[in-house]
Parts: sequence; C-alpha cells; structure tokens
Amino acid sequence: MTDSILNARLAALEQNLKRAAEGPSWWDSVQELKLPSAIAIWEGLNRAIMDQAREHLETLQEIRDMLKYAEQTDDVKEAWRRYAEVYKQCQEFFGECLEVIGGLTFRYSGLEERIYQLADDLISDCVKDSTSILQWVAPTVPALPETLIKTLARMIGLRFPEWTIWTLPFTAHELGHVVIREDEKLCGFPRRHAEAWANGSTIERAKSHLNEYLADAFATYTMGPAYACAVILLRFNPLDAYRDDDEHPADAKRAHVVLTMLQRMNDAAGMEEPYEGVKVRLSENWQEVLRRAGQPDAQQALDAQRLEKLVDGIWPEFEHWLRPAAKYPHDEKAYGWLVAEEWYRTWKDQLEKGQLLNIQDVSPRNTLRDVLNAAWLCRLEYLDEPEHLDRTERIEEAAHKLCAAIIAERRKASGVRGAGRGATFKYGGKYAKRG
Amino acid sequence: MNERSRSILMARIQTLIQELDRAKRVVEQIDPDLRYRVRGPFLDLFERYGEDLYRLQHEVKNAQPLKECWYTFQDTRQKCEPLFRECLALMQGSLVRRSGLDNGLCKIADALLYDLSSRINISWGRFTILAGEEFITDMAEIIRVRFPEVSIWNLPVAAHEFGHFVGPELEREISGKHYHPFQDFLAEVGGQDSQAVAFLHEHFADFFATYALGPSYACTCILLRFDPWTAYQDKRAHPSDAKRVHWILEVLNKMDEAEGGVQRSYQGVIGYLRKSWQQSLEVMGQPVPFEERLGKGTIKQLDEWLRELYFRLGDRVSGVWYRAEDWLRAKRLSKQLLEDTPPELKDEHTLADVLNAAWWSRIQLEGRDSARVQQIGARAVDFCCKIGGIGND
Repeated sequence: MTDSILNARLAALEQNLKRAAEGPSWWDSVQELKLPSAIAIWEGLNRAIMDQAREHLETLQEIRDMLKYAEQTDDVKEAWRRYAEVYKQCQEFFGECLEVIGGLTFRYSGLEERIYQLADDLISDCVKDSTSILQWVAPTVPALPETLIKTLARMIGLRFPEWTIWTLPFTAHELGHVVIREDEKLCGFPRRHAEAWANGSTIERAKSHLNEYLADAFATYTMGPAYACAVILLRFNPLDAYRDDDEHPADAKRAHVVLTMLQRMNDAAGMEEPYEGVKVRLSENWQEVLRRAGQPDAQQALDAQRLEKLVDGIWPEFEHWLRPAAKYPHDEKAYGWLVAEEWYRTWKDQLEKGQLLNIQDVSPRNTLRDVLNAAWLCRLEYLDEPEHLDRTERIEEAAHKLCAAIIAERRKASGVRGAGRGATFKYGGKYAKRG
Repeated sequence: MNERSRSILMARIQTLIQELDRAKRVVEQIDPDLRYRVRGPFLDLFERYGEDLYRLQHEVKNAQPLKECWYTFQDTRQKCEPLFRECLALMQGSLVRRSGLDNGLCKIADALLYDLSSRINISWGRFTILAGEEFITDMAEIIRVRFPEVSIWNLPVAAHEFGHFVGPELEREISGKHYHPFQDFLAEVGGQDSQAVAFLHEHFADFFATYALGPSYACTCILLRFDPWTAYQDKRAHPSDAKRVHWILEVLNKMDEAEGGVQRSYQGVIGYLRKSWQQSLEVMGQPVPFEERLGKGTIKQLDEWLRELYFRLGDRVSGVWYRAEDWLRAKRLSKQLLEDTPPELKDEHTLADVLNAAWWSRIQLEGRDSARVQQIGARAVDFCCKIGGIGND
C-alpha cells in the first residue's frame, strides 16, 4: 500500500534533517559572519544538533520500513501518526536551531558585545565553582523571555534588550535551570516533591513551580544579594504579585523564597549575619511597594511557612551536590562579600566626595560576582534619593570598568592573550582556559 | 508619599527607558537596505512609548497616586514587549538572511510579494525573514517564512501570509466615499463570532494565495502541509484542513469558470489533488469522501462565503488573477525544468509561473524520484533568480 503524500513529506523532512545531521553545513554560512572560532562552541553545538537530527532520521527510517511492508490500512495509519509526531518534534528542533543561529549571529554582530562577554565570564565562574556536571556552556545570546532556556545548546539567554550590569544576575537563574536539568541528583528534587507540592493542582504545574523556586534559590545561593536585589527591584510585578501561572509561581512567593534563601545564608554564616542589612532593606521595599499597589501583606497572604520549609529542603541539596565554592562566600579575604562591601564603601565615599569612581587594587582572584554585589549594594544606598538615576549610571560605568580590570588581571596572571572575544570555556577538557 | 515607596517604580521606569533606547539602537544597526523598509513604524513606537514613560516619570515625581502609576507603567511595559520581540526578530532575521542560511529564498519571496503588491496596487515595502513558523505581525508587517522549509515548494505559503496583510488594506471608492470591502465582509458575515472571524481571515488568505499563485499554492498545501491525521479538526483560529482543501479547490474551480469557454484548464490538477488527498484519508481509515464527511451544511456555508467573497472582492483583486493562459505558460516552462536544458526565459514569465512549473513537473514524476525532485527545485530557484534579477547567493 503506498501513500504518495506521506512519501513526499518524508522525503522533504529527510532532506532537511540530513543537512543538519551531516555536520551542519549551516554553520559554514553562519561562520561567514566571522563568528569567533572558539572550537568548543561549534563542537558542542554541532554535536547537539547532529545527535538530534540523527535520532529523527532513524525514526523516519522506521516509518519508511513500516510503509514498505504495510499491507493493512492500520499500518499506514500508524505511519502517519508517527510522521505527525516526528514532524512536530522536528519543527521544535529546527525552530530552536534557528534561534541558536539567530542568537549567535546577533551576539557577535558587535552590538553590546561588552555585556555578553561579561555574562559569559560570569557564567563560566559560576559553572566552574558550582558543578562538575557541565562540560561546556554556549555563549550567552539575546533571547525572548519565553525562550530563555535552550535545551539543544545549553544556551543561556540574556533577555532582550536588558543589557546592563543590573540585570546580569538573572543569568544565574537561567544557569540554575540548566544545572538542575543536567544534574541527576538535583533534577530529582522536583520529581520527589511534586506530588506533595501539587496541593490540588497538577503534578506538571507543581514540577514547573518547584523548578522555578530551585532556580531562584540557586541564583541567590551562587550570586548572593545581587540576585535578590535585581529580581525584587527590577523584575517582580507588585500588581500581579499573587497570581500563579502554569509555569511560574506568583512573584510574591518567589520573592519570599529568595529572601528566605538569603536568610539561610545568613544563618549559615553564624553571628555576623552578613546579608541582614540588604535582606531587611529589600524586604521593606517590597512590602511597601505591595502595600502601595493595593496588595495584601506578603507575610499574611502567603503560605510562608511552606515556602520556608521548601528552602530548608533545598539547602542541604545544594550543600551536598554543588561544589563548596558554589555558595557566594561571605568571609573570604580575596573575593566574596567582604570584597564587595569594601568596594561599595570606596564607591560610596567617592560618590559623596564627588570623585571619579575608581577601585585601585584589583586581583585576579576577585570575581565578577563581587562587582555585581558591590554595584547593587551601592545602588541600594541611593535608591530613595532624588539623584538616584544619575548615581546609578555612574555606578554602572564604574562596575563595567572594574569587571574589565578583573578580566585583564586574570589574563595577565594566566598568560592568556586575547581569549576574551567569544571564548567559551570547556572545563576539564583540552579546551580549558580562563578568559 | 515617602521616597521609598516610589523608588522601585522610578528605577523600573528608568530601566524601561534605557531598554527602549537600546532596542532603537538595534534597529539602527540593521542592514541599510532592509532598515529603510521598516524603520518608520518602529521609530514611531519608540517615540510614543518613550514619551509615555517620561510623562509617567514626571507624575511619579509629582506624587500622583502610586497605584495608578504602577498600572500605567505595567501597561506601557506590556506594550513594549511585542516591540522588543519584533526588534529582536528583525535583527536576527536580517543577520540570518545575510548569512545565506535561507539559500537566497527570502529574496525570491520578497520579489514574489513585491510583484503581487504592485499588481494589486497595495503598497507593502517590507521583507521576509526566517522563523520557526509562517506568520505576519501587524506591528512591522514583516512576513516570516518557515525554516528550514525554505524551498521553492513552500514559497507559495508566503502569498498566504501576504493575504493576511492584503485583506484589511483593500479599499474601494464609490462616489468619493472609501469602503473596506473585506472588513465589511468580516463584520457582516462573521459578526460577533470571533472564531468565525478568524476562520474568514484564513479563508481569505487561502483565497488570495490560490487566486494569485494558481495550482502551486494548492499543491503546497495539499501535498506538503495539510494533515490527514487531523483533517477534520478545527483549531482555535484555523478551520480544519479538510475545509481548507475544499475551499482551495473551489477557488480554483471558480477561477476556471470565470475564464468562460469550453476548456477547463484547472480540472486536471484539481482532480489530481482531490484524489491524492482522498487517498491519504483512506489510508488513515477514513474512506468516506471528505466533502461528504464535512457534511452538506458545512459545504453550503463554505460555498456561500466563497461566493460572497468572490462577488465583493473578485474585481478588486483581479490584478493578481493567475489565469488559464498563465497556467499554460507554466506547463510549457515545466518542460524546461524536466529536460534539464538551459532556461529560455521570456519577459512574460513570472515568478508565479516558475512555482507552478515546478509543481507541475513534480506532479509528472508522481513522487517516484526524490533526487529528481530536488534537482527540479534547484533549477526552479535558478529560474526565479533570473526572472527576479536576484543574485543567487
């Protein structure tokens, strides 16, 4: 029994998949745009694309075999059913390929490249410090909110056009999704707790929500107060703070998880409670905004205890499965919160004296996380003042300069020259190097 | 109002102003030959939303009720989302076009649509870009063609998307008064039923693409796109594929009838497509003829809609009518595609001719030789480049 329409469609799909499976000739044309030649990018992406294309080609072959021996109507019907299924999967696959290609071409078009380079370096630091699971991470690319996670390419999107120092901490949330998905220990957490968490809603929804909480907790844990500041001051929506959707829990709940995580980090630090000041300040600001927006008090409206118990459950998972350096350090001398605080004080002093913002002593051991924390701490200081906007711009520029200085120091220390542009770092392999 | 309660909102307003500014810079970076075609609508929106935000900033500073201000901000933020989405698509799309990932097909699609635009006298100065699926947005009217299915065989779908743009633009002047016949048709026939209105939009786009590209559009839809597995399922905004098959074949029929005379040029291809579609349904265990399965009521309604559409709009879109003589020319051209000889193109040949010639050639092969189909496709692209004066990159 033959079906000319199905045969035509199989041929068309096969043709497209073959192009992808045979070492994407697409990249040849994309590379004409003079993208950086960091081998790890192409190696990782090629492998991911080719593997998926080959899998789909195998399915097409099975469908063809099915058709070859089809004598019953039911056989052809089954072939059509499987074709419809694989066609849909291929649409998603090709759609994602296009996003990756489009994202990379945009990323390397020269526009706002500085921020993407910083995002890459930040993620590289986080990956190296957090986990041994990831062998490679593709460069960050501009993306839309709904397509921030690239399953195909382990690609992390920087929401378009949020290209500032202030929004960089969000990359840690996206990285959190990647780490949680790829780490078989951590990815079990939402599965294990979904049923109990569902509480009347679907298991799928509960899993999505738990994944979001985990990513928020991961971002706070690795990035420190900078993530809490960015997400509470710039992202969460007070007008819609108590509405869950299928993918995301309500912003008020997420804010509570972020602040609770900060509290746990405080508790773990012992008596000094390094993040108390920021935490209290953010919490007050958020409460005030909710109140002014006509929303109920978060503490009363939320099932706060349940969320706190969730964070209590997440904490040992992170402590156990992530590397010790994953947690943003509060008491290291050369990097971490102590350094961020010192820079904040220097900048604050310089701002008040009307001086140029400048940090003199930069070491290759300083991290970009420290810069983001210092910048946010400083911004928070002036948030309620009339000259806030002007100072924000000055802090931002100083933070950029400081990041560039740290990266330069690192290069000097490791003897690497010109590895910056577009380099992506493959840890543990022959391409391992720092930028 | 204390400072603390307004500081977060002020920070967000400032952030959004900066984002608008950056998005504007992105648009300014697009290839100049594409940028000039879309710059206008983008700049208008950047300006309007920017002004809204500066006004809001002023209101927050002047102690206007904070809740109202938050609502205004949220409203502007939501309006900016599609603008940012479109900017990103535009930038990525133009870069991907430049990379040659589309094998030059976007330029052919542009040329095809410019030709239709000039023949119907409705200005469309935009362009096409690759995307995960085909669609057109109201904001910048850029038409997306589906990656990786950018081939000569799928090109006719661009005309369907263009149809979505054309419908609302159609205008007629009677005694100095301007009418919008398609909008009037929607209002009178679709009324308040939003799904009916959505379906009529799709039907019009199918009508337009078939009318302008003749059998090639019908071939693309029936042989490559429509799904016999879900043939009878209406979607939220799309009528079922079975309804669309009936509709498209009826449009071809109507075009045939309108030619008059004894000869019915499209009957052969209509018969072939009807039979192929029905065969696919049969192998899916649905032996009942699809029009019978759709039911008399549905068929009657579709036919009435088509009659009405044809009556109201037929003369307004007659400039793009793909006539029997065009089809004949395409059939002759198909011999060149099949014979593998250098193209002998004449001035009268159009891109629509090449699409039809390619499909007619493919039908002759009856799907037996996929390598040959690819070869025909490649030759057809060469023909298109020559006709459209496009460098085949």
